[in-house]
Amino acid sequence: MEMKATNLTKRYAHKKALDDLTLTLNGEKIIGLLGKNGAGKTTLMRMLAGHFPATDGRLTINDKAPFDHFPVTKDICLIMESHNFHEKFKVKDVLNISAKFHPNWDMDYAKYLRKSFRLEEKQKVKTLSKGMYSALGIIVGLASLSPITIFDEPYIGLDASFRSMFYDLLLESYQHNPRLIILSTHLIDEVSKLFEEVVILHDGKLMLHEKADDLADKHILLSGNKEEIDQFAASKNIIHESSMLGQKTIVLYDEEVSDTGDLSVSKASLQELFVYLTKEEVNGYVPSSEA
Amino acid sequence: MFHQVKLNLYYFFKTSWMTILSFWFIFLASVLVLLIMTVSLGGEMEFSGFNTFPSLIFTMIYGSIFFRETFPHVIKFGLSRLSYTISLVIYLFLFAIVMIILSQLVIQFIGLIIDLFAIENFQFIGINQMSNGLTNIGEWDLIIYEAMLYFLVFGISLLISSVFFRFGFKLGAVLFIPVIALFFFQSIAENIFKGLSYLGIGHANYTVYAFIVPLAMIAILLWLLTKNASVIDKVSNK
Repeated sequence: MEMKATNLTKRYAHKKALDDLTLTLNGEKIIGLLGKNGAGKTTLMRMLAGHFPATDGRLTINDKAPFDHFPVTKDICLIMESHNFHEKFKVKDVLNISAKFHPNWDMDYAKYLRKSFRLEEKQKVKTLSKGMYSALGIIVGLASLSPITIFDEPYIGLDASFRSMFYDLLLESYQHNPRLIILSTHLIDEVSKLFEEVVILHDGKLMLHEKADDLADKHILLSGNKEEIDQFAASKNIIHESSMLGQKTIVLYDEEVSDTGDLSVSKASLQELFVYLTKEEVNGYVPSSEA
Repeated sequence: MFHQVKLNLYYFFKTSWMTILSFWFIFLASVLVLLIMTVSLGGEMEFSGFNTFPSLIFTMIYGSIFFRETFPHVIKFGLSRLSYTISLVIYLFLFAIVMIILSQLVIQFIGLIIDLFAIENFQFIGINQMSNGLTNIGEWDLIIYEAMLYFLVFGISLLISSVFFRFGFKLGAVLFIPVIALFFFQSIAENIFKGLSYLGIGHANYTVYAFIVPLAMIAILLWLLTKNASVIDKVSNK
């Protein structure tokens, strides 16, 4: 299974959601798709599922365009945070309909998941709470066993306990039925251990695409005396720095670091790295009366 | 393609059967309430009802919501836009048949009650019993005509709603301006009305085959509207 975006651009009326994006995802793995709000994650996922065409560039799955192409899209299941199901259906209708549309659907597994998330089969979709609606999406996504399963923030409203259950179920499902799973999330720390690869989009462009292990290896967090740090880090790729009381902490990315001397060396979490990579400096607000 | 059409029709059935049945149950209940009122008031009240208008109004309203209730969902399930359009045309045909059957069942049921209780001040008829002024037109012609009306009204409502779905309220409305403007040109308007006379039962020009033209136009326009359509409703932006 290979997903390939080449110079992919998607323009809405007033802005570019994807801007000349080139990216290749392949194999059976769990990939974390990260990015700030408006980075273009949802647009990319929806284009993968054939929801709308590209403005420019090319998007293929196994060399075939997904837009309006049933042989490709039948193997893709995209679960978004909302608008997945018709609101007048009951839970059991959603499962029965999904069973018809997803060729690899496992109804026994779907029933097991429904019980695990404590969903009533006769409950109407429109009466489900936000969390229960998310649970229904998760059930459909997992039970579809689609070769490309995409979750776009599927846990909105789910409590920490059910979210933890989702992560366990996702890993379990992947182990039993290896496939390409793309998970877009803002709760990076909760799921970072599941990711084999991480893709970060920023302003519609690809900022980073790395194996999760490489990402951990490629950065280093150094702290120590401010002068020593400044001397050591001169002309190095610093993605984050903070100073306090003569002490300084920096994060170096993609740098060969050997002798760190007395400096303290550690690693940042994936979420911290994401923040360091994508954070934009803001000029402090100055009220007009003080300007 | 056949498999996709089957899946589309399955989804259409799942979304629509309850709505259609609900309408007919509510309609039947309303007629029965009127019947009870008419009977209880004796000779002081007479009622004459005609069931095609309410069902055509329902068809118009239902047609206007059907597109956004189905298109984004089946496309999200991966089905192609062409299969959706083909399935819509088949569904229009099936919908017209189902509406005719239910319409006739309601009329027969009301007629049975009227006969059973020998009610004289209550009359409820369908289009097929409307022979006033119509010569050489049989009951089956009228039934087929009613089916064609369901077909046409549903199709036009679908078309209008798909334009708004695709282009949003403002642009959708702008797109309809040229169509409306045509009626202000006398020669064009005369031709349109002449064309419509082929669809008016009782008119000398009428032929049931004339319905093929607007239905083919609806099918082609629906295909043109959906073939590159996004699943995002431009009216609600959902």
